[in-house]
Amino acid sequence: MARVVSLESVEVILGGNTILKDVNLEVDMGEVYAIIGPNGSGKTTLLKVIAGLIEPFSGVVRVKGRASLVPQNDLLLPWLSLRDNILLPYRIHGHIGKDAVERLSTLSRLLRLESFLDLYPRQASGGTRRKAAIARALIVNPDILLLDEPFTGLDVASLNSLVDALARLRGRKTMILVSHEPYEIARLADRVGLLNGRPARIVDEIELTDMRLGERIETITQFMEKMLAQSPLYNR
Amino acid sequence: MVLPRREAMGYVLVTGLGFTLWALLSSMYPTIFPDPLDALGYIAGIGDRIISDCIVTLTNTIAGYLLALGFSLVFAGLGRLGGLPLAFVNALNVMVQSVSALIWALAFLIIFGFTSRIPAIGVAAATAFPILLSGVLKGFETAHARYGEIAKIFNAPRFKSLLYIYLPASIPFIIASSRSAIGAALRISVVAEAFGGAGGIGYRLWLFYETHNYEGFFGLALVLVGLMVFIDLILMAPLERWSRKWLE
Repeated sequence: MARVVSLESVEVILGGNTILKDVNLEVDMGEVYAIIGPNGSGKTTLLKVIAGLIEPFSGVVRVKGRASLVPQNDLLLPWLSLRDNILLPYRIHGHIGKDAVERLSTLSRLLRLESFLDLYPRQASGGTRRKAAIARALIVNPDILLLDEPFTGLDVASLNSLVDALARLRGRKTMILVSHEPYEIARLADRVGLLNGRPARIVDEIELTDMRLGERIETITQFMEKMLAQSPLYNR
Repeated sequence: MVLPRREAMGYVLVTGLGFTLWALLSSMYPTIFPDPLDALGYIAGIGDRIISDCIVTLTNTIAGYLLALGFSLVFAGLGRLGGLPLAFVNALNVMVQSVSALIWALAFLIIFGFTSRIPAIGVAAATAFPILLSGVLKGFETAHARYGEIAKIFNAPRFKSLLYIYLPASIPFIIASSRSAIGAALRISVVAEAFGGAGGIGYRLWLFYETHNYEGFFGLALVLVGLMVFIDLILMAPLERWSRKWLE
């Protein structure tokens, strides 16, 4: 399978602090890769490096195709409806033509957003807002979707609806997601990487592809417990 | 409701106290302070002239405000180009703020003449400009902190990010600073009108003062205060309240 993301010995220094060091990561086309790690370990920084928003101090970052990031707090513009938020990249880079409208229609069907497009962000539930942010990232037809804690702060109904929506994207898009939710990771991810240490690096990886859901949840939970035991951030 | 009941009561009390004091002073010094009702009656008697003066003053103020808003947006946009342009814009803001309204008024009168309306418009613009520029700069700064990442994620060109992200996100700041700017511009433009001969409330006030027409002077002063309070409470305050919901 073609490799779409490849990081070799990546080091990131922000504000004089080394956040990531010696990070090696490879993700194949169509794969769903989940990154877990303690709070403040640099997971968001790693996603931003892949998205091209942060330049690494050293190392090599290879990304084949376009990567689009869904930030943790959605960052929907409150003065625009969900429809206009989703179409924002088109507005920024040209005009909203027939292709944009068609793409919006396809995405809103895929993510079950059709009946919410005229709402403003403040009128929509957390799950709908998150799906709109994902649709906005997808409207530019990226090859890689980067999701920063997509499941945080959602109620059960919104969570299930969002996981279903992301599950429908499986195989169509390469996805790299940062999350703390073992059940949601188990439902979506093919592989899980543990980002840990100070400065952080990928210290361990598990393959989930051939496991059943129950086995996946158990494996991820054990993996997270191991992370908690090892983490310098939890064992001060 | 335009004004909450308690706030409205505050205005009723201040108005009542003002009129009582005026009536008291009028009874003590009748040659200086006319009877409040006589003053208002006099103004009502020349209502058409007063209305045309109010229109001149308001158009001077609004023209000055719009000019200042345009310049503020251009300079704040320039400030987004980098560190040095921003330092230039901040320095310009401080410099413009440091010039007295009297200097602006006299300088514009020297340049454009006493019968031109440009001095009053120019003074209103020069007064409103630093207030608006500070508001727009603060708005852009807040927009950058909140939504700057979106511009980065979608690789938005500078002008497009200004148009679609920074400017709309700054609207509450622009409206809040407009409230102060319009108030200040209106107060100062009447001073410039008083020095010139192109009409307006300021010109009429000066005329009443020069001719010792104190009924006209105090009556018109009351009209001016009423006009300012009306603009602030009926137009600007509700607009500001509405704009706060913009970013929710």
